[in-house]
Amino acid sequence: MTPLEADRILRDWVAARDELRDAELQAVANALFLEETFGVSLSDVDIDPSVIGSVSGMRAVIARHLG
Amino acid sequence: MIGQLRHRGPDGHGYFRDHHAALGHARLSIIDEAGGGQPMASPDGRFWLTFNGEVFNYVELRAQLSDRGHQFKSVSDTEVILHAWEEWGEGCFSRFNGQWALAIWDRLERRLVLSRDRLGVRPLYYHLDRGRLRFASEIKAILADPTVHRGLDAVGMGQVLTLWSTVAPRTAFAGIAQLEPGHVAVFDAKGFRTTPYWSSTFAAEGREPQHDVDENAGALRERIIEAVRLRFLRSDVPVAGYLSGGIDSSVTAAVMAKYTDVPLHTFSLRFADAEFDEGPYQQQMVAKLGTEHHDVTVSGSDIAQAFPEVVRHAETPVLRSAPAPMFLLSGLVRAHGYKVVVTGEGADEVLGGYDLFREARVRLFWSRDPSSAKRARAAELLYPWMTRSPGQAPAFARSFFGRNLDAEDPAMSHRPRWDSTSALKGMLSPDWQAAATAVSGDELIAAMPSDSDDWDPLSRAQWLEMTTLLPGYILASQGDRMLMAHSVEGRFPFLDRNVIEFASQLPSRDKLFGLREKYLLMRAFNDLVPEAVLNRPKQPYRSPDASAFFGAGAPDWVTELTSPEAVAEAGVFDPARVGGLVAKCVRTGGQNLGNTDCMRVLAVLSTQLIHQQFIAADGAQLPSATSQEPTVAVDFVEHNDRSTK
Repeated sequence: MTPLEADRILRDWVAARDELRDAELQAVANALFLEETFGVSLSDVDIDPSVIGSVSGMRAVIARHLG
Repeated sequence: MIGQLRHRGPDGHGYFRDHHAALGHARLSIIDEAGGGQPMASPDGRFWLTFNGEVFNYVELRAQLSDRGHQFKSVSDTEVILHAWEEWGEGCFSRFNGQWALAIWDRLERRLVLSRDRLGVRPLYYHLDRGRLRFASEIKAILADPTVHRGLDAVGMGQVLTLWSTVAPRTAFAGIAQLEPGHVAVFDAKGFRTTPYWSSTFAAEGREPQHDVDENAGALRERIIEAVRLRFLRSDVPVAGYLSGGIDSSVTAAVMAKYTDVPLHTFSLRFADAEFDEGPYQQQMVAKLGTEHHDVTVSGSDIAQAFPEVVRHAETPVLRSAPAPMFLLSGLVRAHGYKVVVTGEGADEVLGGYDLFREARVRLFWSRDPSSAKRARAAELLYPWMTRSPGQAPAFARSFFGRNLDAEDPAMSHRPRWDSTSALKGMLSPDWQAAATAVSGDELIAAMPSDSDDWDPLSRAQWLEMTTLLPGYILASQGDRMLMAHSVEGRFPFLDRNVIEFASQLPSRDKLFGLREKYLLMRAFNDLVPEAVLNRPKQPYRSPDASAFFGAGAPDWVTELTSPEAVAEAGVFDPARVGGLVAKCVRTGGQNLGNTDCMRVLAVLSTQLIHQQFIAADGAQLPSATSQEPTVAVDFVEHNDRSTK
């Protein structure tokens, strides 16, 4: 998967996901999506709003995984 | 036997008999009303066909066969099947796109061939005993033969009380089997044998054809539109549509509306109990499409009143009352003069719409670190009520979704359902416990295709669902049987072979995107379905269960059939345990029971009704034979060749 494709999928996810008021739960939802879609492995430290709570955070995790 | 199937074919009947075989047919005339009488013979009289269903691509097949020199006398799909059989033999079935159960008798070879459609839309049962084969679309026709033993099957009961339905070839009746979907059976001097001509398969994980999601959405849309078009236009009688309020039937109705200049007629179920009602969403689609709409509002007492008749048609114990409203809905369709409806069934299985698939994804996520409190919270994403009750949700999640978090289990998706349903077996009498308890679902795992290890977890879950509940319950107890009870044919575009085979090659993220179900379907039809319907919270089709049968106005038959004497006579359930359950229901009016108790109630009531109507009843209590004159009558036994038409 190219970074461009990955970015498009990430944008689709942000448009399709349910917006949750609970930031920690939103991070869990994002983590589930990232692991399932991109095959990344996240630690409990990663499953946190400060890491994957934002689009840029998720993009960074994907970039790290794709190398 | 034909008389028992009159509801499936009230428009005429016929028979063929020679010294070795007899075929019967009850006709619901939809295509070529004048020329499609059955049983039908090939031009040389060698092959005789009796056929229930539709081959939707018969026009294209007829053109191919004409090019090869075949000549046709009618415009029916039935005649096309006969010519296709002559031309391609058993290879013809893989060319059919449709829903069928059929039998072809070869007078020359003295060979009978049975065939059933890929996913089991049409039922086909048989009973083989001492070299004699009886077959029919419903079990009650086989039981019309007084020499056939009447009894429930302990393993079949075990399957219902684990998997929610029997799994082909098993049925709930001892000695009576059903032809597996996608199979052909041959019966001749060498015996009886079955072979698959098609099986459900999926792309290996990571090796799915890689296309852009918009390309995939476009390709899916194209296939669904063609599937709907075939099912709407290939009929000589008007075709209506179901409209549930969900995306699936909204898509099929929206596509149908494109092919008619007059208002499309749509039909919906409403519930008196707001918990189950989807009326507001139905109305949004009606307003958008401008359909001529009809609905029936169903209450608990309607369900209880209809239930004995529902079970008589379903011919199996059920764990839900949901078939009863579908029975009432098909009655409404027929009352308005329609005998064909297009519905949205199959989309959840084919395109990833069930909550069970979402639950499995959460469990898989959690299983990567079962001790992680953060991963455990994923269960709260499943249902809105969980986020509304944060005090209870974590405890529920741990106790239910957190059990057996084994990512290596091929049935990880279904294990919670199977395990919790198996608790129902505790109601069985000691005589039935052993055989029923032996059913665990592991036998199903053993039957999974050898390459299924390479599939992604969603595909494995889809295979399990398409092998168990789809043919065993959704298309049968809740589908064909409730439709045909009122002589209505259901047509299912999402089960079109081109839709299924395309969807099975999609990457799982196109179906279940994160936890967003049927993502590609939403993307493909977001211009035809209102935003409010597209993005509404998923509401599985449910109806009032235990509460329908207890409390004020409870029908007398419930008390009679759950008495200790009646339960002991049937012998399946333990009278004391049933007594305890009934006492609880009477005390509460069947209100606020847990899911397992609701299933217990439905299992007991439906099984007792099966016993009363099929096992204890003698032939005289079953519906009488048809009094109509046959449209086809060919008898080589009493006469050399007597035929009328």
